[in-house]
Amino acid sequence: MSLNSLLTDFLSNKVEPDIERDRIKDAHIEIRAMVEELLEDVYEASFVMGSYKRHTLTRRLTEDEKYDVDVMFVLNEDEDLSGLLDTMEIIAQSIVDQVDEIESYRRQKVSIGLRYKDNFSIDMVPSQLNDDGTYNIYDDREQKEVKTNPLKHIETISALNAKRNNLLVPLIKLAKRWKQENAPKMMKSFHLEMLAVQIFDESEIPNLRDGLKLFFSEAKRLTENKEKIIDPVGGHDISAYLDSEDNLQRDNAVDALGIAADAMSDAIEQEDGNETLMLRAVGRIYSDFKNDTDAAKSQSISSSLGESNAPRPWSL
Amino acid sequence: MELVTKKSTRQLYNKVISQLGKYSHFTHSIVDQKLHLDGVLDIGLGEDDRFKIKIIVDERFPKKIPEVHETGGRIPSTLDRHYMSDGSGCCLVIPHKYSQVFSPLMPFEYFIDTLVVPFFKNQIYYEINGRFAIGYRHGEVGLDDYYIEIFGDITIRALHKLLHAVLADKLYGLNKIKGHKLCPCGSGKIQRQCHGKGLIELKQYGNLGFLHQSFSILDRLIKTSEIYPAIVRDKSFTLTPKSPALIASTLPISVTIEPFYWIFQPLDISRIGYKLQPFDMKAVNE
Repeated sequence: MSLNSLLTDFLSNKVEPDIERDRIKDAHIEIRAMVEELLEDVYEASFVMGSYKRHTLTRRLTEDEKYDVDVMFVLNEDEDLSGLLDTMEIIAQSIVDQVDEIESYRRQKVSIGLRYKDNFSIDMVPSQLNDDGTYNIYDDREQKEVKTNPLKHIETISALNAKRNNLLVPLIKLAKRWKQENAPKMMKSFHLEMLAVQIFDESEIPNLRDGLKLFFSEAKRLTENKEKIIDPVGGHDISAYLDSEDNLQRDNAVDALGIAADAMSDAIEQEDGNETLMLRAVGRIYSDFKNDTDAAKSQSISSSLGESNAPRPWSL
Repeated sequence: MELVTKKSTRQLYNKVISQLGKYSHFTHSIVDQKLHLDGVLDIGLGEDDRFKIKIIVDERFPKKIPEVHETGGRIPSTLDRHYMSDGSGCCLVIPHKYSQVFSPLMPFEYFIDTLVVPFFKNQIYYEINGRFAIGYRHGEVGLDDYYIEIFGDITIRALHKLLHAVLADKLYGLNKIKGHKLCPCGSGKIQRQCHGKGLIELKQYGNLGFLHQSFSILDRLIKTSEIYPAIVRDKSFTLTPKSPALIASTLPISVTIEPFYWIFQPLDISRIGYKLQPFDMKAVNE
């Protein structure tokens, strides 16, 4: 089986989210209407945004996780932005009381999340519109306003996806799936999306196989060289969070991206050769491709090398 | 077929061939006066995971580690895989460890069991997981990994003193390394309560050439930092599992040739625990 068809099958069977878009649509329309009614004086508009809207949502790894559907509520600019999250929390309490399908709400960094009994939650993000068409949201943890433009992000990804034969979005999903498995706390999903935008703004995507290889190797290079990944809105560096005091987070991200890049190279090299080795290489990126025999081998090697005074390979 | 001209070498090769044991299915030939052993290595992990290999033994064996090559084209020739692209083959072991795990008295079969089989098992582990089960990093940083392994986290100055003591003993027989003597690191403790175990290991098995190389790197680093007072050393001047990579990768050769190379790497320097004062070019020029 070719690597391309392998990745395509993996994408549709394991990476595409198991969500009911109609159910989610009904839910967010209902919530938006309720908020509009409850906040009649300050409500101006609302729209769905985030990875759900950008179609870059990936399947959750465990049943406990919920898919986040972000809804931006544009509120009156005369109000104090820092207080709008408190207002939203009061609204959320009222909504939870009225809507049976919602089990609870949770105050988050920039939103109030309404957790449905289904497999999703709707995150209500209060915001205010700026004159330049951007939006201000309030970061409750950092206690500061943040400028954003989710519509611009949607537009950027959608336009580039069309330009790249609709392969950008599938690639982003594959990259995000890699993150879920290998770097969940290390890298941010939005960072990966913008890395993909930066990389494929210049480069063609011939197919998933070559695109994924290019993505990992370029993402490694950009991260290693500390090249800025500029947010199309606001112009700040999205990758700045990697630069913790000791730089370990950036080092770890580079290492993880390097392993994935090498694995894709190895998989491509073995595509016309040894299928076991090809699958083994892909298994280094996506655990679904690992087989039980290899897992047992790995375990046995690890214990046999660990227990003895085994010589460690080293090269000058 | 090429014949071995030197009698002692011929005897050595015959001995190696007679000691192949369970690897006696390996074929042997002489090329450029070196013994070539070719065969399929079964590392006990199933048919998919056998390796076609070539072992090249020369007259300097057992002092010199035989070359081991994977001839099936399965392992990419990259440093990441500890497989050298310069044709020297598999990087089996750090020189300091070689004489510790393999002695001339052991049969050649043991060399394969102890050094070659684990290397290829580690390669399978890499194929599955994208990293080795065990292994040092490349180059001088790998040596630092080893020093940390035997001494624990250690300051550059302390390691410099320890290596100095080992070299003094090995080169001049000064007997500085004794359990009841004060530890050369300067802690004030006796060696057996301090770095004694690692010192004895290095004294007994350490490879002189590599010890000297490591010592020279540290020596240059310390002398350079003394000459240029813009760099302040303090308690954070410590080797940790992550930091020696940066010391070795930014420093080794370039320090002597281009002394300011690493001074102008503020980010890297901060990563290895230096505190930089504002750099005064005038002071340096003086």
